[in-house]
Amino acid sequence: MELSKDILSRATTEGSKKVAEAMTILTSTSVEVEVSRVESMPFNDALNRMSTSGDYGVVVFSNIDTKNVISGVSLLTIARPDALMLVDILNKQEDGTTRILKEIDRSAIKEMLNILSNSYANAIAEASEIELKIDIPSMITVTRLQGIISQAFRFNAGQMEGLSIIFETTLTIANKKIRVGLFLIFNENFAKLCCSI
Amino acid sequence: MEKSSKVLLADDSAFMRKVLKDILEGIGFTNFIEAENGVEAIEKFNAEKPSLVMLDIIMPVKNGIDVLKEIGKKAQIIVVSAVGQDGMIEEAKTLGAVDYIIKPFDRAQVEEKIAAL
Repeated sequence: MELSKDILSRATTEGSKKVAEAMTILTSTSVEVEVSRVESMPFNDALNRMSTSGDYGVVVFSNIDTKNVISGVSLLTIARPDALMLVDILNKQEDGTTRILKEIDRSAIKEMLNILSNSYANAIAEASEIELKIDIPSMITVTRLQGIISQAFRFNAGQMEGLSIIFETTLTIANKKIRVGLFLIFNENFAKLCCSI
Repeated sequence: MEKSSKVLLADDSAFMRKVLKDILEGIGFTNFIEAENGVEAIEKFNAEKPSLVMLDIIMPVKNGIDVLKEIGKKAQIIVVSAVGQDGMIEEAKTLGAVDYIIKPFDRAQVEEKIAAL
């Protein structure tokens, strides 16, 4: 598939930059971009990529809508101990204050996905002129990941067919060693639209 | 704006309502009502007549744009949203929002917008 490499490259560079800036404001601490890439791959491989990219226990999910024919999802992945530390940072509390995720803590992490994925979507919109709307986030378990993606992309009976475009960013909060993954995944229509611009 | 003015915080995120409330309390506001979706925001607006509304766009049941269509010209409304795409900002302002803050924001940004009212 011939992608509009210039558009995707700009969207990826600017997207990761905006996400890191957003995370810096949210946490008032130094944030580094560890991974920033966009790739085209079969959906099954995209799912494997997410499953092997980290030992995470917390997954936040949003659908991405557009006025066009693109389907997309946004996912934030984070290991549970990192999520607890992150909540302490977001709430400006001492390390170790949060031991379980209460409703307000889950709200903080969901809001973080909302903000980070919108920051990335804003960069994609600027690069491609494709307006994206990130839906209300939900927290899911990692075991539901495949089912959620099948539903979002309307795959029949779990048959994950076709190619995906996957924007991947991994951020680290250096002084705490907290690692957060952000994935925006689209179907082939996104690439077709990029090619036609 | 008088610090005794009633403020409606409309956001589906309890965390974000808390963050905004903390900032506004720091400026001196004390009188808050909260809504976690668009329908609740309209109901509380009509019942409580707040002078200032901090309004999210992406909310369940009814979104912020639909809320603006109903109450956009009736109060000082600042949209506070992660959606930073030009089309959305223009639409919100056309419907009566006096300003637009893109999440994430820092305390100074909110203070500046409030001071400008």
